[in-house]
Amino acid sequence: MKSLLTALILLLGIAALAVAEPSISASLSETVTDVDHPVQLEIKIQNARVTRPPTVSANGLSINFAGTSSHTQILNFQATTIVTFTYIVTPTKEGIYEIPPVEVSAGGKTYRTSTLTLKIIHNDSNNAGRPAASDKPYFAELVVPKESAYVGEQIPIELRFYFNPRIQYQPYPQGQYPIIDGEGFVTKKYPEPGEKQFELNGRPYHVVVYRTALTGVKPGKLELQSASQSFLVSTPFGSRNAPGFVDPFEDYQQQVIDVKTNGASIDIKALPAAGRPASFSGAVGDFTLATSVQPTKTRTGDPVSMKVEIKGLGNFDRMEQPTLTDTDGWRTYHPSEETEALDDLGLSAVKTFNYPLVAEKPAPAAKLPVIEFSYFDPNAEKYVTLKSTPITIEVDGERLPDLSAPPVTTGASPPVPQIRTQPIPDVLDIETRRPSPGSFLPLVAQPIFWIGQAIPAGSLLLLVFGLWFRNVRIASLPLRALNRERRALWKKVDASNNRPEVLQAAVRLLELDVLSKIRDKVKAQMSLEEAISEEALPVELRSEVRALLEARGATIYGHLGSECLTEDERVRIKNVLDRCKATA
Amino acid sequence: MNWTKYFLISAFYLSFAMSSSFGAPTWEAANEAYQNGKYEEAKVDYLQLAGMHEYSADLFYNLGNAWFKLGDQGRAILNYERALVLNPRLEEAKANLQTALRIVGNDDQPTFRERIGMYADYFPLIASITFWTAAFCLLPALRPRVRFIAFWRSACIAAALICVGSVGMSFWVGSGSKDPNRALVVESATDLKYGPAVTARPVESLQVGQHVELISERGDWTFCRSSSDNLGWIITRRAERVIP
Repeated sequence: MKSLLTALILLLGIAALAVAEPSISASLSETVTDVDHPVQLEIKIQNARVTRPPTVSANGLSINFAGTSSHTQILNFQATTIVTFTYIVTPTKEGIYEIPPVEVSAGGKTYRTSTLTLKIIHNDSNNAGRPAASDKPYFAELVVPKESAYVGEQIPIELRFYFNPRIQYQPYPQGQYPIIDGEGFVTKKYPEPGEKQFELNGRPYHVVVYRTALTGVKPGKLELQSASQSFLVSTPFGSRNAPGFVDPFEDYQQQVIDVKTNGASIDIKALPAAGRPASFSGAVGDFTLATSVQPTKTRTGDPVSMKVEIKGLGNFDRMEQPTLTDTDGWRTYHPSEETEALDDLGLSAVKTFNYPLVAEKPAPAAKLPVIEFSYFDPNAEKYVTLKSTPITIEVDGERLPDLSAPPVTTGASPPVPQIRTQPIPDVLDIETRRPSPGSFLPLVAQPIFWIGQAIPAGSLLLLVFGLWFRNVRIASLPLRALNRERRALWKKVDASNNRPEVLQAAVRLLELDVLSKIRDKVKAQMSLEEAISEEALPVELRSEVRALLEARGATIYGHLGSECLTEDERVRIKNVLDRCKATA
Repeated sequence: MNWTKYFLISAFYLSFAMSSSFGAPTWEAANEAYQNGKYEEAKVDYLQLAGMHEYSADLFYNLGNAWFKLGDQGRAILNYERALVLNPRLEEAKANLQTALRIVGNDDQPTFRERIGMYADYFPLIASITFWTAAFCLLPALRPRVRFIAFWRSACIAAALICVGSVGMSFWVGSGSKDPNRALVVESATDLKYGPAVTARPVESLQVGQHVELISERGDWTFCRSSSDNLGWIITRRAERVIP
């Protein structure tokens, strides 16, 4: 085995030594292609150490470096190292193009490829009249429906990005929306883009459509240079398949492209100063007004809610609350407002204002304040003022005292209805209580959180330890009782002069010490006498233990012998006990 | 000799501490200045208190009010947000924040994640409580011959499920409103631009009170991501971090 490996290494070494001369070659994956169909250019360099990709350029062709690969092969003891540089050649126009020789320097010499020719044809001969943009595998257009608009008028626009059906695409980075290049306008947030199939000049396209609304903020020429969006596209190269045919083995080249639309120009006109109503607050569009009140019967001092709905098409985000007129007999307050979009862009919507009103005096048919709302209609090119139809409700109760400064009221019989001034919103007062300290650190970064964790963790640990300790104690109860008994017996053997008591204690100690150990060994119940006869004890001890047993029997059951223990006998008994213990 | 030295050193430090505390503004003095209509003075006092890292929801709420009275709605909004970060249930801060946002014309509604992010600290808290509950319930649940064993097992499973859910939410929300890279646009006419230059083309016009995520700083410019996910550069001083 070892010699085989040595031979192999030797062979490889010889092969490595036998390196051939450097060479270079270039090839195209296809020599004839379509304008929307990129091909692959490969430059192979053999037996030369080249790390940087050579520069390749050709008039009329877009050539981008795509990657490097290398491998080594040994054939007939000849090692060949091949480095392959891959490029993507994207044709932009019809014609016959030449890729000039590519030069590579290695080992002080310069090597060059041969000239390559690429023929670009049109796949479809019936599309001479199509727009230039559709010659490309992808392009975009900006669709602006108007050439002029007023300041504040919302102009719905579409950004369409067209892709050849063979190209796979996705916005890059994901979730990125197009950016419109220009100044002097604001746009609404983009809803999710739509996708559809579209045929342009007989060619199918996948179209990504972004919709938004654009609002000019100052009068003048609004120049939209372009709108751009980045896409990650996967472009196939290799043999061209019939449309709709998906080849799972087809190679794709991924790249990020920036697709730009055409530009557009919009003339933004200033809102006319002439005829501007006093109640106009910047709303531009086409609106309707509806009012209602709840409840229809009330008492003085109790609030009623007057609901004002403004519905239509326009710039709801710039719409201020409508003004109240004819507020005599009513206390009015700042309304709450809510906008409900009726389309995904929010161009069409319903804005609801809820005015809290309090009646100051009773009346069988009290007229509610009149709502006045003005806007500029860009289609009619004039200001329109909407007024609510008068609503009457029944008011009971006592007349409320006059406030020194009522929020908004007009005179009892004004010659001209006064416009309610907008209240300047104020904030709630400051806090004067002693502030409680807080921390901007996230809870998990605060030491107190982890200290807090230590409390239950410690408690749990204590609990587990307590349970374990309790179990151990329960399990050791018999053993501890035996030890207690053993100590008491030894005390008797050591100190008592009562012979029967000492003999009884000695026998019991023998049972505890010897018998329990013997039982552990033989795994069977037996008496001390049986243990002696079973030869569990050494021969020299058996007779002494037996003598002890007999003495105990004679003393306790036969009442023979002295009642008093001599020291010699105590020593002998202790000696037997010690030896038995040691033996066991 | 030694005692004299220690006495002199102690006296020096005591006098230093007393002099610095005499010069510092107090909460009461700042509030009094505000109530007397001296908003500039109140603002300076509140800012000094904040500079001493005596952070509290009430302090930032009052500071927001002072900015509001001084007509700087951007910084008022910023400080109301700070107050709400420290105490998401401070109703007065919520009301004043809405008022200030209405004044600057910012009607952007917070996303669900942003709303949940206000309570980001609650999720680890719930997760830890339920974790320990599950751990404590596990002990009787695993022991034989325990009374109410079904109860202990159910409680253990329920607590574990809530714990897992809270941990998941915690990961999803992250630091939430306490994210140190979260900032607010505090000055009007702020454009998000393609490059760190005044002459660079704008990507998006940012409203006062709009949130941005700060990514990196270069000189006077900061690269950031707007709430509508556009990337670009803004002048650093036009956006301030919510977490000071």
